[in-house]
Amino acid sequence: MNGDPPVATVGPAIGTRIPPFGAPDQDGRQQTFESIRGPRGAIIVFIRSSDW
Amino acid sequence: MELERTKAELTALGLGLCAISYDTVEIHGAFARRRGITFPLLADPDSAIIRAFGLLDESVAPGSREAGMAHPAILLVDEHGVVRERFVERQYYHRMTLPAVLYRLGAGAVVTHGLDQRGHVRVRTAATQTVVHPGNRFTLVVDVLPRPGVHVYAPDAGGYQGLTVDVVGESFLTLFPPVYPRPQRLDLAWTDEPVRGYRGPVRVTVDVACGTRQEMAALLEGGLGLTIHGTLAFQACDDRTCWPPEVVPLRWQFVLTPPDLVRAPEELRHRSKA
Repeated sequence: MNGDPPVATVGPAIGTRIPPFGAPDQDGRQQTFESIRGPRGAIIVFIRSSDW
Repeated sequence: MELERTKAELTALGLGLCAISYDTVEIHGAFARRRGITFPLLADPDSAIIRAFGLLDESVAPGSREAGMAHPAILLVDEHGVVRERFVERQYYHRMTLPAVLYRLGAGAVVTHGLDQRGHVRVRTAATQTVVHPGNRFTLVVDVLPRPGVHVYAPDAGGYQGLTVDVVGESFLTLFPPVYPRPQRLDLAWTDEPVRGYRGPVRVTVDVACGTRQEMAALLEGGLGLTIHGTLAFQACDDRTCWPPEVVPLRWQFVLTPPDLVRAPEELRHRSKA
């Protein structure tokens, strides 16, 4: 767990398009990039778990 | 949760916010109700989205309860779905805070931690926040404001004490290199040699990341908060006089809050797949 992953290659690169996605939120409502974004885009945070 | 507090600032910037994890809808539901989370937490229990983004943490043992977890990451995506900024940390327990992300994007303000009026310059310490958690990566700021007519020297200016910020290391802190603004060429009356430095306000930033809660256990139990010390070295001159080099002590004081260790209800938790 404490290894150094090659950070620069983890996740999408700057300038690339994110893959389309859809998933239910905490209330079971289906969400997509179009439904969560604002007029200028969005911050997408990948977390490990909310159940630490 | 810090993300919830930052939501209004993001909305003002025209940005939406969502978090994605390998948790189920039920785990996210329990967490959101307990913590008053109103932004979308997207459930990706089979890690399909995490994989599609290339963020699957492959260092986790397959079959374990943690298999399928994402590598923590913050992406700024524009309205066309194109990644504009990305914050992915080397250590899995480090997270850049949203105030630090906003500051990087040129949108967030910093909070003053101290002011020190010296003879020829004013020194202000500030940071992207006053409250930190274990694992947080945030930004320390040192503003140096020379009096009118006074200049200071670039970090690598030979022959003078260049402006340098040093933050004191601790076993539970990761220090990132200080970032100095681009110096300007100083045309000095007493020399024809080009010397680089600063005539106006100078802002130096230093990123710092806190260790794990285990590494910070003594501080958390002591309840005294986190104090970070440093020094600023510089030499101030005007067009006629150079004053002796100075070293100014720097100090930042943070409230250190413990992590949220409340688990999801037993029946909802991730199971080992082995």
